Amino acid sequence: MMRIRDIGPAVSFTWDGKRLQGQVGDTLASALLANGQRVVARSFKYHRPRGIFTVGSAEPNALVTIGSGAAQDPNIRATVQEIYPGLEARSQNRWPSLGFDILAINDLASPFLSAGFYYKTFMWPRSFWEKLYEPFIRRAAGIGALSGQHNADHYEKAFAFCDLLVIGSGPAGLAAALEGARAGARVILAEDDARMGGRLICDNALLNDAAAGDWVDAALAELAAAPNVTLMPRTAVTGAYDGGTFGAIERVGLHLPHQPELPRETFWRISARRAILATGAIERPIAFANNDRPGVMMASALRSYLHRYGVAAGQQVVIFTNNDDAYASARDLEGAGVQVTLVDARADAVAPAGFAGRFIAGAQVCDTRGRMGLRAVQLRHGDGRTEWTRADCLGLSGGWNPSLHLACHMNGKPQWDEGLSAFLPVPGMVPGLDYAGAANGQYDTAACLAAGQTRARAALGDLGLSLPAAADLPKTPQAAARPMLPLWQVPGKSRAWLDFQNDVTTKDVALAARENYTSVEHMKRYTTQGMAPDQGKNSNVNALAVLADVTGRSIAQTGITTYRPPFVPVSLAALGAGAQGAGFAPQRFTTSDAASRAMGAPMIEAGLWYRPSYFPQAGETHWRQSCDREVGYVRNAVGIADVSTLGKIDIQGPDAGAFLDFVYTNMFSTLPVGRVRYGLMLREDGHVMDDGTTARLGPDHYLMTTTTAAAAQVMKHLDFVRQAHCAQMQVAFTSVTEEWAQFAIAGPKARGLLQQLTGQALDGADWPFMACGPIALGDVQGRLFRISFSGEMGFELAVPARFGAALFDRLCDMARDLGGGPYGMEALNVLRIEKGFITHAEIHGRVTGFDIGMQGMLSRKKDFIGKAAASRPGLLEDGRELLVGLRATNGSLIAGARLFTQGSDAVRTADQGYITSVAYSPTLDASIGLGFLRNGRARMGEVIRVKDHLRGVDILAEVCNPVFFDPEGGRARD
Amino acid sequence: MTDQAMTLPETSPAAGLLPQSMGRMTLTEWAQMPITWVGLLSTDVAAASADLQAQIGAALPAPGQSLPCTGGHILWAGMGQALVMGTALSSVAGASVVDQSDAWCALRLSGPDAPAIMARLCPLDLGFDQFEEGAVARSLIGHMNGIIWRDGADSLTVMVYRSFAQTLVHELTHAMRAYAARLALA
Repeated sequence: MMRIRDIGPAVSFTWDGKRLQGQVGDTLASALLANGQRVVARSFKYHRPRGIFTVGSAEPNALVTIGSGAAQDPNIRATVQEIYPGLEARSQNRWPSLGFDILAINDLASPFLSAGFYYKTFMWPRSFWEKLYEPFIRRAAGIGALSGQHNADHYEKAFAFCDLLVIGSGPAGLAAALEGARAGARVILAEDDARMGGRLICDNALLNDAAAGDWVDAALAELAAAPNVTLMPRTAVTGAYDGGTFGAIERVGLHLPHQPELPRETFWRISARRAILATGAIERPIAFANNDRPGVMMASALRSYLHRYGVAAGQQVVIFTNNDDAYASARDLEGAGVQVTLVDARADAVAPAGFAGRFIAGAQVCDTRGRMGLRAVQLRHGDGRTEWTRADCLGLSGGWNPSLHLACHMNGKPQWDEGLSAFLPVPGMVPGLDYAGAANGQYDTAACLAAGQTRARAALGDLGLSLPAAADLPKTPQAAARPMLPLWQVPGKSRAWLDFQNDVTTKDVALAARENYTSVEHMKRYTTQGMAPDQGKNSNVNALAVLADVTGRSIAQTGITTYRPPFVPVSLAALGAGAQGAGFAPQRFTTSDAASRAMGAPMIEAGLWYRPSYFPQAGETHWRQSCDREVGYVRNAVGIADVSTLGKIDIQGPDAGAFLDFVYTNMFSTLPVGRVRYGLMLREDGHVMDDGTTARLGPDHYLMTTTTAAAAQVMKHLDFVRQAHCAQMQVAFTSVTEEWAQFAIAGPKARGLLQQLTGQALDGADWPFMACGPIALGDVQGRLFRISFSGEMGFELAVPARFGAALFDRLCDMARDLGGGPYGMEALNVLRIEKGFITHAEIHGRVTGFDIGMQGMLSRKKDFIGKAAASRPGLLEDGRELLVGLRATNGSLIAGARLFTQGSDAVRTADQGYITSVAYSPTLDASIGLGFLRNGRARMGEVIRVKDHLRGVDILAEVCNPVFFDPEGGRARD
Repeated sequence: MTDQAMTLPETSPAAGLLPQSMGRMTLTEWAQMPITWVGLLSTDVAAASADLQAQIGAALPAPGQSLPCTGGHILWAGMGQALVMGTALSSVAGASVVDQSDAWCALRLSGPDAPAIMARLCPLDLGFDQFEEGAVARSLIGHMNGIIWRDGADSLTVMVYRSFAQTLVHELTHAMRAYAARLALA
C-alpha cells in the first residue's frame, strides 16, 4: 500500500494515538491505506482482524471512533470520514490493542458462536440473563461506545422544499439535475459523498474524449450558478416517507476541526414534488474461505483509491471477478505499476486488451492466508488443481446490486432480474419517485446519462413545466460487456463470510435453514445478517442467494428482506436536535418570573409554565416553614400570587350567554353584568372536564377562566362545540390569557391594600363577593374580580401584561407593609385544600359532578354538553367513590395512598378509594387531605385506614367534610 | 389616599434580549403597538369587511394574506379571524373585537437568510419566492404555535404568545448563529 500520486497538501491526524500524515481530500480510509495501516478494526463477534473493504458509504469493516470526551462518536465509517487537521480516530472493539486483542479467543470458539448461539445457550436460569450473560456478551461482542456524558455539540434539523429531488450525483443524477436546472425547476441534488460525480470521479473514464472529471466540473459549475438549484454534498437521503417527504442527513461540521457554533449534522426533511433515484449500485463480494482478511477489498474500490486518492491498495494484487467491470481495476492498477493477477470465474473469459499480467479464466479463489494482513490466496483452477499465489491485496467483484433501498421504504418489493442477477425497482414503489442509471440496473455510462435525462424530463413534464429541447449528452466510449456468471459462494470447509459487519458466514445461513428459519426475514433475525450500521448493503443479496441454494428455491422465490429507513446510520443527536435539556419543550414565563426568581423562589413547572413554589426568607431551612408563613399571610394579613397562567377566554356576541349555557352545566345567560359565577364543564361522556369562574363584562361579553392545565383543552373544546353544535350561534371567542397579567390579592387586608392602590373604597355594597368590573390604576385600565381561591377576602387584579412586572413589584411591597407578602404554589395549594376547593388532582378525568358533590350544578332546565351521559344510573350510585375530606389521626397523609375500611386487609379487593391531595394545614395544625371514598358522603366521622404500599405509610384518618376551614364561607364575604 | 406615584413602567415581551445581529441577519422586537383581534360572529364576512374598509381602509384579508391599512396592516389569523396591527379598534360590525396588544411577542427577522433560518424551525416553505410579500401563515415555530408574516422584501415577522418570548428569541438566535457559522464556511 502506498501513495503513488499526491492529491493535496499534507494533513496531520492521529490513529490510535499515533500521529499520521494524510492529504487534503483524503478520507480516513484512504489516509490509513496510504500509511500502510492494514488492520483497522476487529470484527463484531470473533474479533477477527479486519481491513478497509470498500470506498464509500457501504463499508462494513472499518468502523472507528472519532473524537474523545463527551462528543466521542462511535461506529463512524472510515470510508466516509474526511480527514482534517487534528482529527483523532481510534479503533474499537479491541482490548488491549488493535494488534493484540484478548477476545480474539472468540474466533477459536467459533463452532459454539454460530447463529442462534445466544438463544440456545442462555435460556436458563432466567435471572442470569440480565445480571450476567447480557453484560458479558455486550462487552465481548460489540462495536463502539458512547461516552455516557452529555453532548454539548450543536446539531440541527431543517426543512427543505423542491420540485425535483435528485438522489445521487453520478452520471444519471447529474444529467437529471441539469434537466431540472434548465427547466427552471427548484432542484435539490443530494450526494452522500463529499464530492459530487459518483463513479465518474472514481474511474479513469472518458467523456467527450476528455477526462470525465472535466464534464463533471462543467456540470457542477452550471448547477451551482443556477439560482433554482441547491447542491447538497455530504448529504445522504435516508428515507422515503408519505407525501413526497424524504429524510436526509447532512454532515455539516464532521469533516472540520470543531467549531462550537457550527452544527455537526443537520437532519433534513425534504418535501419533493418528484424525485429521481440515481444512487448507483453497490458491488457485491463473493463468499469463500477466509474472505475477510485485511487486504481483501472490493475490486471497484481498488480503482477508486487509485484514481481519486492516489493510493495503490497493494503491490501484488489478485482480482477475482465474475464480470467485466473488474477488468478496469486490473488494467488501471497495472498501469500504475502494480503487479496484477486477474482471475475470472467464467471459463470462456478472454484477457482484456492491453492487460499484461497473469490472466486465469474459469478459476476461483478458494482460500486466503495472512491473519494480520493478506499474504497469499489459493486458486482452484477449472480442472480442480489448486495453487497458492502471493498477494497483499485481493479485489472481489461478484457483480452489482442496484442501490434501490429508498424505493422500498414504503413497503414496495423489488423484482429479481434473472439476466442481471439483481433485484430491480418496479414503477410506483414510492409515489413520485422514478429511477435512473445503475440504481435501475443500467450500468454503462451512456445508459446512465440517457436515463437521467429522460426520467427527469418525464418528471418535470408531469409537473407541467415547459422543457427546453434536450441538450446533447456527452459522448462515451463504446463498451460491450459480456454477461456475468452468477457466483455467490465458492465451496469450501472453512468459514466464508457473507456479512462482515455481523460476522455471519455461509454456515450460519445454512444452519438457520436447517433449523427451519427458511423465510428470508427469519434467517435475517436468526443470524443477525443485515443488521447494524451497514444494514447488509454488501451482504443482503448474497445471503439470500445462499439461502435460496440451501433451500432449493430460486432467488425470486426466496425474496428479499424489507428495507427500512434509515439508509445510512443517523445519529440520535441529529434526530433530536434542539430537544436536549431545556430545549425539550418551550418555556412559558409570567411577567413576575424575574422578580420571583430574584426573591429566591424555586420554580415548578405547570404545563409549560414556570410558577414560584415558595418565597424563602432568611432563617428558613425547610420549604414547609416558608409555606406555613405564606399561608399565614393570607389567613391573617394579605398575600400576593401571580395567577396569570390560568386560561382566560374572551367570549362575545349576542349568543354568548346561550353558548356558555351549552358548554357549562349551570346557567350563565342569567348572570348579571358585573358579576362572576363558578362554572362546571363536562365532557361529552358526562365526566368533568374543567371548572373555573366566568365573569360577565357586558351584555354580550363574558370572560371565562380555565385551570392552567386545561386552558388549551378547553379552548379546543369550545372551538369544536362552536363549529360542530352551535354553528348557527352568533358568538366569537379568543384566548386572552397572555393579554392580561393577573394577581390574586387575598387576606383580611386585601381590600385595604387595593384601597391604597386604587384610591377607591371597594366596599361590600359596590364590590360584593363575586363582583367584577373595570378599574383604573392611574392611566392603566385594569380589571378587578372579587373572587377567592383561598376562602379569604380575595380579589384578582388584571392589567395589560406590559405592566405586569411593575404591578407585581408594587403589590409585593404594599403587602409587606401590611404584614404580608407574595405566596407561592405550595401555600396556594394548602389554602385551597383547607377550603376543599378542587383542582385537576381531583377532577382528573374519571370523576363526575356527582362524585365531587356538585350534582346540583347540573341544570335540569337546559341542555348542555355531557348532560345525557352524566345521567346514566351507573354514574349516580351511592357506592361510587365520592369526594371527602380526610384528617389524619396519627401521622401524615400522603397523596396516592389507598383507603381501606378500618380492620380490613389492605388488599386490592378491599380497596375503598384513594387520596388525591394532601397538606399540612398550619391553620388547623393537622394533616389534611382530599380523596375519593366509596359512598363517602355517608361515612362522615368514620375512621379509615390509609395505606400506601409503595412508600410504607399505614395510618388512620377520620372522614370529614372536604371544607375544613370556614365551611360557611363568611370570611370571603362582607 | 391614592398611592402617590401611580405610574407603572412597561416591559416589552423580549425586553433585554434584543436586538441581536449575526451573519447577515438581525433580529429585533417590534415596538409595542396596538394589536386588535377581530373575530367574526358568524360566517357573514360582508358586514365586517365593509365596516373595516370604512374604519381602516382595508377589508378582511383572504386566508394566508395581509393587507396594508390605515396605521398598519390587517393580517388573516385563522378561520374568521384577523389581527389589526398598528391601529386600535373599539368595534367592528358583525365581529368581536378584543385588544391583544400585550398578548403577542412579535419579532422581526431581517436579512436575506430569513427563510433559511426559519427552515430550522418551521415546516412551511417560507422561501422569499414562495411566501410572497404580505403572506401570513399560522404554523409551528419549534414547538410553539405562532404566526409568520412576510412583512417586507427581506424580512419575516414571527409572532408567538408573549410568555414564549424567551424561547422564541433563543430558538431564532440559535438558528441564526448556526447559519452564520455555516455561511462562514463558504
